[in-house]
Amino acid sequence: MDRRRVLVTGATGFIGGRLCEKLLLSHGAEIRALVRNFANASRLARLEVELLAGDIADADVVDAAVRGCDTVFHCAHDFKDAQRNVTGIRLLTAACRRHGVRRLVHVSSISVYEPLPDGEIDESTRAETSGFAYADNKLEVERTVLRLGADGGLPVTVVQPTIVYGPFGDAWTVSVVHELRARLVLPEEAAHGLCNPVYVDDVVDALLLAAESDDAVGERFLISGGETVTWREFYATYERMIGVGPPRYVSSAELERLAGRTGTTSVLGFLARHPRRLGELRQVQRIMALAGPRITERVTDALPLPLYVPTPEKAALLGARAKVRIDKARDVLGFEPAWDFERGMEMTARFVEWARL
Amino acid sequence: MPSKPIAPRLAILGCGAVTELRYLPALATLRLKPALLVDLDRERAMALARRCGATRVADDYRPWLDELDAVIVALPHSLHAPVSIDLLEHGVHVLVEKPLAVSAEESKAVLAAAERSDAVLAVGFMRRHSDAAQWLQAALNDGALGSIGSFDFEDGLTYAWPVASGSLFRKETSGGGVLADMGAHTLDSLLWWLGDVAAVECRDDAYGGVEAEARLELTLASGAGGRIELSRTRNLRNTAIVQGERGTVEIGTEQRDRNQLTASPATLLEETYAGVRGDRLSRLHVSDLFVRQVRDWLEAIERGREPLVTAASAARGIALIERCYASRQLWELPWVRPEDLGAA
Repeated sequence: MDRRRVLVTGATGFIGGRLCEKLLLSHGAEIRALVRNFANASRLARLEVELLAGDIADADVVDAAVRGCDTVFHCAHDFKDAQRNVTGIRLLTAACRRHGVRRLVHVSSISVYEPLPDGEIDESTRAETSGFAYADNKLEVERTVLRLGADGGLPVTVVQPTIVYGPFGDAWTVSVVHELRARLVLPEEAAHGLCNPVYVDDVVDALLLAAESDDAVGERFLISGGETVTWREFYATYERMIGVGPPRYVSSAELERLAGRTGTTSVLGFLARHPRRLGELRQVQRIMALAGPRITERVTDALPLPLYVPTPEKAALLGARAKVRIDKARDVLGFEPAWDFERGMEMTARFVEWARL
Repeated sequence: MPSKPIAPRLAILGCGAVTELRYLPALATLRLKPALLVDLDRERAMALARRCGATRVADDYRPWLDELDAVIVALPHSLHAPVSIDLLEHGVHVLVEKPLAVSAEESKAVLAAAERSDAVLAVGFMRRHSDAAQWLQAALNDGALGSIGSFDFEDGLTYAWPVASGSLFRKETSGGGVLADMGAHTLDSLLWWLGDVAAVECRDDAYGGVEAEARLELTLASGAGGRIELSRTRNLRNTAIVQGERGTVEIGTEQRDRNQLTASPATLLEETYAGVRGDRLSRLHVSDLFVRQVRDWLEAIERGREPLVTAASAARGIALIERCYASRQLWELPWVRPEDLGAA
């Protein structure tokens, strides 16, 4: 990757951010980043990177972003707008073709295989529509980029990371810590369900290999740290790290009951999840204004901490007993995880302490 | 050039987040309407104008100079100094958002322009307008803590400011990262409360861009030592602690702790300074501070007095920031291995 001209989408995010650091610091690449929301750009802006403002769903913006780049890493994903992701990949592949990009590396997810079957899984495992919103969207985008790449002669490689954790990781680092510090319930199946963790640097290394390997064109690669731990152990590692007790493991009936209570969009559902945000309700604000700030604060502090109940998608993931095989990435890309779970979590612990999570 | 008469015809230059969320509400509270909003993005200016009742929008302030008395400058940092100088030279009163300038040399040019002009130049350091900050300043001035031994300031929030453009994150328009931005407030308070800095060591995490993290070790002219930590990615303590031979005072600098003092011994707060008792401070929202800031500027114009935050005092902060950057060393974050920093 040395001295390449690279476009990174999703560069303000977890994987894209670390990718930019490695591209710049270890490879001296010339990087352009497409940034939709600068409020998230603090970490990225530390680097010598061209920041291009704009939206992945805007054809002119995407064209300008790709122009002059030889390699494109597509790390962006909008969790709230599935259509934007589909539009984005269409515009991006079209622009890559127009500008003769030598490789488009797309960051997909292990989720495309959800619900994960028990036993070993690899790229030959059937990926089909699951009814889970995130998984289905990732699958549609992955299929779109592979089809458009093959049709148009654009070299595309898809990387499917598993459970990515590490510094600045949201879903599997920062959120886990916040949830453990509050109140968290998990399905009792998670005690034996298998997690396939991967430290973020290994994902970034795989992306860099995927961008260079001629044999990787048109292929998909599962990327994991190469070992499994139970989800209970995954969470317990964070519990030890921050010095808190375990979450409550509950039966599926209890989980459903709690999810029913907290999952509604009503005011009561909101309060069941976030009792301390009572003060955000307009009617309560009027009472608070009469009571005064000090009393309000005391009342708020006496309320229970937020309650986190996994979605059905997450509960299914935590109960699954899939073991990810990374033989294809090893054979074709020459990928070898550099971080085992223990060392990856050691680095993560340094981040958690530094970030005062 | 003589200054213009009061009942000011006001303009705001720059229609970014601070204008939308702070200055327009502050002007509304004071029952003032800006006559003109200026932004290169006319649509954005028009959208804000509709909300605040401004009669005109423009993408350049210069054609309107003769029709303006007072201007709030909330442009990208790199434009603060040149635009302020231009306005002062036309006798227009200026409230410029911090930073006054992006270099010490530039700030000298603004100071010179302010001296030549009769117009008032105030700088937007809203933290100075809190009762707690003023109490502490007066208390320290009075020697309430005895001689100062050490200090420890932390300002850090997960960045969530709804920036309307990327100018804060581009080196060429921002003048720096968290040190030049949030740190400008922290250092302004430090200089105001504790006086000049003799020596500084600075570490930050920038690799060719603008830093998100900075850590300063400082020695004051008085001999006291202390540290400042700043972050755009972490929620830090967000307080300033000053320790003297007679006790310690801690002041909240952000959000719900703004305008809060704690002290050891607690009796320190029973004293009245700057017109308030340290243990009887009312809650202030950040919007209150902007109202006070604009009011102070307008009163300074009306009464021909200095504003609370003068350009000269802001220039000291800029010189200090420049010294910090000049001494900067790389702050290697704890999870980064030396081999990660290879080829670059």
